Amino acid sequence: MRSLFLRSTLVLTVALSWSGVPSAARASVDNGVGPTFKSIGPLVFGPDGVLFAGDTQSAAILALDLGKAATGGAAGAKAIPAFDQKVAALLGTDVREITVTDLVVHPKTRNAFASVMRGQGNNAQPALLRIDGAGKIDVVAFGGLKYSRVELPNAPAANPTDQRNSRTQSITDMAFVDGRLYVAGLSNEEFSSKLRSVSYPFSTVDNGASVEIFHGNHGQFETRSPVYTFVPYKVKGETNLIAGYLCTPLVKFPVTGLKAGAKVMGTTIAELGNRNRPLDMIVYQKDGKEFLLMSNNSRGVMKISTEGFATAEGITKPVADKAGVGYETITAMKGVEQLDLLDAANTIVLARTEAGVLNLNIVALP
Amino acid sequence: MADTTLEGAAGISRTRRFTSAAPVAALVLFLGLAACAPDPGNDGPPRIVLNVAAERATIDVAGLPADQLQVLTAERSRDEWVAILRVAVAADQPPMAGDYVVSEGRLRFTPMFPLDAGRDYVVRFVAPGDLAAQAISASVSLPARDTTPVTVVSQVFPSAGDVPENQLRLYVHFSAPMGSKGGLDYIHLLDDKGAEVKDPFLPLDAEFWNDDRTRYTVFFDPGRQKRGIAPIADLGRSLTQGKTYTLVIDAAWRDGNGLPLAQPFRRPLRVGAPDERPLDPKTWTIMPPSAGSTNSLRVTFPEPLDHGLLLRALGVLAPDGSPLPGDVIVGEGELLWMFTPKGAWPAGRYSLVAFASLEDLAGNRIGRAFEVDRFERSDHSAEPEKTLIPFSVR
Repeated sequence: MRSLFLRSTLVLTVALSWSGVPSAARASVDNGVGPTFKSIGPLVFGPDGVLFAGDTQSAAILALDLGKAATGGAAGAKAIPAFDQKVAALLGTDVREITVTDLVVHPKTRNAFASVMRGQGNNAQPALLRIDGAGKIDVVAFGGLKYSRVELPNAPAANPTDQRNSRTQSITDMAFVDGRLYVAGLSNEEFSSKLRSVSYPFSTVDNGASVEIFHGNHGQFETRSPVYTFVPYKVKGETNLIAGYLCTPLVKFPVTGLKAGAKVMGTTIAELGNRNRPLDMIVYQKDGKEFLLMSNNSRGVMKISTEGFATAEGITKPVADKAGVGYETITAMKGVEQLDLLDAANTIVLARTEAGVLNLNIVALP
Repeated sequence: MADTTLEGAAGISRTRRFTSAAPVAALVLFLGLAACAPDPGNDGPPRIVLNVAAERATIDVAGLPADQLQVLTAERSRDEWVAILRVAVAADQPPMAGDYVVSEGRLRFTPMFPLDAGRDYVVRFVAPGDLAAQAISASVSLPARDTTPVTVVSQVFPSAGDVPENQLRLYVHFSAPMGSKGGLDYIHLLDDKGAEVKDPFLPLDAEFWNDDRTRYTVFFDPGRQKRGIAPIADLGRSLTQGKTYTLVIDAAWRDGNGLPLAQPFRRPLRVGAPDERPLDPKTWTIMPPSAGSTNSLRVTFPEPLDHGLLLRALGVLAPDGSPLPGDVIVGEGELLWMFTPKGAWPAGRYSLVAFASLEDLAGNRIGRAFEVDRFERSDHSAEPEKTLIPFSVR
């Protein structure tokens, strides 16, 4: 065996330009009846009532045709105290075994739908619940539902025969814009920020665009802070995604720039404070003006006027804590883990009390 | 007066009989296992049966007369079914979701989700259409699983316990699959005085398991590891150069069976200087095997690399450029990478291939440090997808 020092060898960087990589891969798509999930996480409705559900453990997205489950209940949704306890009882288990992963409102019936994991470990089971205007909780049976499922391709391994590839990727949020589903994800091995877009009906998944930002709070240019939650929003007539990152820059970028393989420079329009994880956000109108409502794990619920979104200058210098577009903390909304717009005047939220109880509340838009 | 029967492999049931749908006495009539409770079939009297013969345990009402069974074959709403046969985790809790059917001469409730082992379920049956009918109640449960904790933390990477001040992540390996909840409530970092470091890790929760939930990734919060900015006033850095910390993992973290760990885990972390340099493959040493041998290719590094990425982001290309199948072993301290092909090595020009995702302990990549602290100085070009380092087998 001979020792070879690399100083004397040629180190080749394969500058496979992204443009040389296929911009969108033909995706593995499966259509059928009776979807299965390893885990059920983020939910988002398409305009026609198709429910997109992320299987976070499989890094797959399922488009569900809810059929009768979409229309069977009383219209609207009603507040339910101790929601997690009631869900646990309905699913035949203890409240400690229940994890509510998302909450969305059907665009037509205004029923709320919640994704839930029941149990622990590899035996944990997914459930989809409908909450109607009478406060009735029904389990949506997956058995008869039509679905279409697309997998996000995992990053390749350098050694394709090694069976110990422990990389997994999960989905943190999704938004449906102009016929495409935008997906933000996390990997358990790479600290990275990538947004993928998936055409619907499912046929292709692109390679994703890296979304780079200047993170004034960390005093650095940062590619890798993950996008945690985002919403589509039109700025001067152009569709943008408004994204909340960890610790907590608020960033806008036009969807037209989100080309596969591109590195997109987001405009950091606010620094909303460190030591914080954004959880969920919605856009709403009140008194003729538009606002963003964002829940956070340690900084409460923020109400942010969108007036300055078009003109805000990008933050490109370090900041101590907060900068850019300002916000108002909605002190009446505490412990909010999930939120969605229920109707023109109300938001529906899952809020945890200091005692640890998860309530489903309906709160007038602030 | 035997009201309950247990069928199948095992089950425990405690039955109560009430009259006129009102509880007048709570009599524990039966407690036993299926092995000692032969199935009396569907003869009367009516009784609640925990049926564990099928893959998913069902709750049956056996011993019903034929006319009642006929009535029960009609379609009903869920609320109507619940008024007849109610199964719940407690009497004061909402009824469980499940399907009702008359099958094999019984009314059968199949819960939408499998019954939990060791949990009591309260069952109440009232025959439909008969106001004078007796209500039958029972408490049924599957046997509890073995409650002796056996799962342990089997390894934490980086294995040497020496970390740079800007360490990016830790991998916690377990001897068996864990529960689905995240672990940050159970992972603590103690400083050299034994005081807990507040919030050293990224506040991410459940997403960082591998597929079989035996490895959990913990990311240090990069916002607290930066150089060149004042430490966050109220928190300071998570790790400080020159100090020794202790990583503590509580035994209370539950495994996939809901049991705690068999023992807590402690590991010292000795903190060195921050590492802000990109990886440089020129500093690696490649020791190629001899042609015709089945020996391992050995590659050593001057600093530890990330254990998870060493398993995935390094490989070998054969002389024709195709990926070479083989087995990878990461050596002690993550300073050594060994590759053994499926067959012998033919002579020729090979390449070690390093994917762009390969990182050291601080998240530095080939040609690109984790941190770039000036916006205008940052590299906006596309990252190279992979780096090839040629070597010869002679």
